[in-house]
Amino acid sequence: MNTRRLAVMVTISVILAACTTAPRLAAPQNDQADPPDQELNQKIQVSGAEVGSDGGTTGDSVATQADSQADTQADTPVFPDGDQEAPATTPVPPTDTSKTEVTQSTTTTTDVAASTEDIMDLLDDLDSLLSSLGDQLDGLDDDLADVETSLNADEGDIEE
Amino acid sequence: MKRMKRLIAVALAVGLLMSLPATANAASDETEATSRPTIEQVKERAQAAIDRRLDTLDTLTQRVTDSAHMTDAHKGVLLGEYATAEFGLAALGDEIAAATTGEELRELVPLIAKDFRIYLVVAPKSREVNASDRVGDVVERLDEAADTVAEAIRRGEEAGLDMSAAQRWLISARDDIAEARSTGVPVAGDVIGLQASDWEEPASSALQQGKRRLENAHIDIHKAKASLEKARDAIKDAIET
Repeated sequence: MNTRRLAVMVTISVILAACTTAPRLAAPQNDQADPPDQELNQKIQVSGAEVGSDGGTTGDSVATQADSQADTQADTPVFPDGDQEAPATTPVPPTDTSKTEVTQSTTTTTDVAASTEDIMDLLDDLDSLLSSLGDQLDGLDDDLADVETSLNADEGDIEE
Repeated sequence: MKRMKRLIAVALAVGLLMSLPATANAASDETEATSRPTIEQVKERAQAAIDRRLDTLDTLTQRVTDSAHMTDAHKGVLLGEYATAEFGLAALGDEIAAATTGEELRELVPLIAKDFRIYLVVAPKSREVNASDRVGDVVERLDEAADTVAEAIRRGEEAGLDMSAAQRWLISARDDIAEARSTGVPVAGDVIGLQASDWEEPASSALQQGKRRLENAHIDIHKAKASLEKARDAIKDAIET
């Protein structure tokens, strides 16, 4: 009997001990399951690179912002509760997206303004060319008058 | 007595009538003798004609030399011809001055015109070469202006502007420029080879045709310029709207 009681008590003790130590064992496993900071950084960098490829210099600056934010995020525990789906929903911040759009539309307006200015410069050149053409045409008028006059001339009566 | 008087009157009248042709012939001979030029007068007139042509050649030489648009090749040909003509006219003047008979002068003097054709061939063809080369010069400037318009249109289209109207005017201008080039520019080559011996044909026809082609080129050039101005205005309109 005593042996049975002892066995039951030992079993209970073992179970209790196991229950007590289980959370401690589980915690390191969850930590290992968290997405590595490196992977998180890579996703944000890809996102930044995509924006950059659309906007040239502007995109590069956006990517730089994303990089710095990603670095900041990587310094702190991102998913302390061990939710593995969370990293997939970590986008470029909405504020960054709006900044990119504003910057792009500004660039387009600037391009149009620059093109218009270039066109006006070309039209100035054209005006100069047309003006000089006017002088040339006056000269051509004189040339044709000379042709007309010369064709009406004769050798005089020297042949007779 | 009356019959006698009548006979005398008739005889006088007949005599008078018969003497008239003789009087007229004498007067005619006298006039001919005074109007016929002497050998020296013929020589003077010939030298004046030569001098006039030499002056014309000097004027042509100056104009060709100073021309800003005539090609060097055409200048070379024309200036060479002028120099040859001046030399030939001077030599002919010497021959005329040395002539001693009317027969010699009747043979030499007409050569001032026939051998050189300064007024019927050399001067007109020089004018046409000059005008033709100017057409070539103008056409190049028109090309440059058209290229400028094309570049403005390209940039406008890149900026999203409606350049269709300007594009149509540019096409019209290009057509007119091409027409001016094909009609006016070849005239110089067509007439520059004409010589005194080509008068009256083919020189006369070639020179008249050259004149017509230059006039047509002149019209095309004006049209091209007007089209380019329209294209410019259309571009400005596109920018403002």
